[in-house]
Amino acid sequence: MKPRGGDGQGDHAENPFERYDVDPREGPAGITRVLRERIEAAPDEATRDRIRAAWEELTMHPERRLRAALLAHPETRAPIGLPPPAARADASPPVFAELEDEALLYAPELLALAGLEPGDAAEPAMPRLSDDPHLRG
Amino acid sequence: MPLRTEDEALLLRLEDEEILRGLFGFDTAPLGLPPPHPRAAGMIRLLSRMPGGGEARDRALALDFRALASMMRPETLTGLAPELLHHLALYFGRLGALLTERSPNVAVGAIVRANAAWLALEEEGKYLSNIATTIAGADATRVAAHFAMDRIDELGGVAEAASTTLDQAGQVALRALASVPTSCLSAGVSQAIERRAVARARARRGSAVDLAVERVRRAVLTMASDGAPANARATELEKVIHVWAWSDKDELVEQVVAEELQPIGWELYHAANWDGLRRALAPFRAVIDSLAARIERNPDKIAYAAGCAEILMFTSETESTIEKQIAAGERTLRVCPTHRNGRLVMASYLCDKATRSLDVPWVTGEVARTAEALVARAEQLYPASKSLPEARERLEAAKARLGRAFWGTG
Repeated sequence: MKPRGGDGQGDHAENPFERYDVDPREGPAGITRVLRERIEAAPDEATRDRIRAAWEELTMHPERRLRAALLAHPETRAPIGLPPPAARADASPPVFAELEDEALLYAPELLALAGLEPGDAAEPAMPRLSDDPHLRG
Repeated sequence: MPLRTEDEALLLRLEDEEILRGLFGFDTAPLGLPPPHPRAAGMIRLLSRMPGGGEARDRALALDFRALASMMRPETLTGLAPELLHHLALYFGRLGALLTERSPNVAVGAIVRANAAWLALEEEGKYLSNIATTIAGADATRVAAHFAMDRIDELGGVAEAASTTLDQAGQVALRALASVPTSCLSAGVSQAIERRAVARARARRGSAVDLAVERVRRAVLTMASDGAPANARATELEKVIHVWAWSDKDELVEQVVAEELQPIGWELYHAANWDGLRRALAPFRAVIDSLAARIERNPDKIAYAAGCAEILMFTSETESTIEKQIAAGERTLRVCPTHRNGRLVMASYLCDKATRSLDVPWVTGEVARTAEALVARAEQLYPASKSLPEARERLEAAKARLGRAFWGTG
């Protein structure tokens, strides 16, 4: 995958859908969204101008858009699907589930060290593992 | 740990993209050309779902791309999924464009395959129209409907643009246009589409060759109107031989040579400038031979037979021996049996040969009978030939010397 910041010129420069990695089926709205991102990330004005020209070409002229679309490979690759789910703040990955067992967090010996009885601690004394920013996807 | 379905899909996609790069390298090695967009890897996925495709994909993962490359080049495209046809059209189109300068023969083959895939999509009818509707609305379906023909026009444009420089891109385009019937056959299109595609390709090819030839023809005509000598005009006309080579020996070039060489030939012939005539004709021998062979194979090409026969007749007049003259004369008459001048000179050659054969101290019966047959054919070809009276006279004298009995038995 090409870096999103450039104008994508290079191996596939001849076709704007391939140059900017836009799926033609997304229509003018999708093209606009992707190319806007490209313009925002463009390193210089010349690159921005090129992307604007491509945007005009693809959105203002339906026939040219179609011609370019027919000359771009259709998307028939295996759908990638969703990435692995990110760890949620209120639900730790299963591997840590037992570590968060209340029995462990409120282990009697720890409570005794703190001079407490089971049931005295309304909140755990330590932050939950799932709150650790390093463990959040 | 087992992979999630999504991870499995990602792995397959990455493998397909890797295979695509390897496959393109296999098709273009050792040139190191840039591979298609990774989206083209969808073609690998579609191929892998076909019979034998899984095994071909596995072999490609082991860097053996032959099976996959072979699957991409079936004898017929009939029955292939339209998405795969679309991929193949673009893949081979790109291959053709990138290889035009470096490997023109492979480039032509690739473009012929690309055209076949576009034509197969036109035959299928729905796929391109659906894309058109999705992307540009219902009004755009006519663009999709003509897309295969547009590709033919595009090749015609490349060829026309090269009609001055006669460059390789133009030559590759011309050859691909000439192979549109092969593309149609591979695509399995209907007769209606085939007729349309072949007619379009022929017209675009003819237009490009005509443009290239017309420049030379105009220059020769201008020279003629300026009073340039025949041999100088013949030298200018030689430029069309480059067009002939560029166009893979296009018949139109041969027709133009036959047409434009006639006034040059007549001028030198009337001046009895045999050396000049020989020099003027020599560079065009292969071109005229080719046109003559076409007419011999297909007598329906009668429109060009007389012009071609005229040049062959001039050629026969420049031959060094009577046997070569007769051989050239025979060809003249095979190309155009009714050619007046061809019959006239042939009658003269036959009389000449008969007379020479009789011009010996002792004539055998066999020689006399051969001479009689030659004279008889000369009479049949051109009864008013000025050579006939002398030939008949010599023949009668030979007969008289031989005596009737001997003459009858040999």
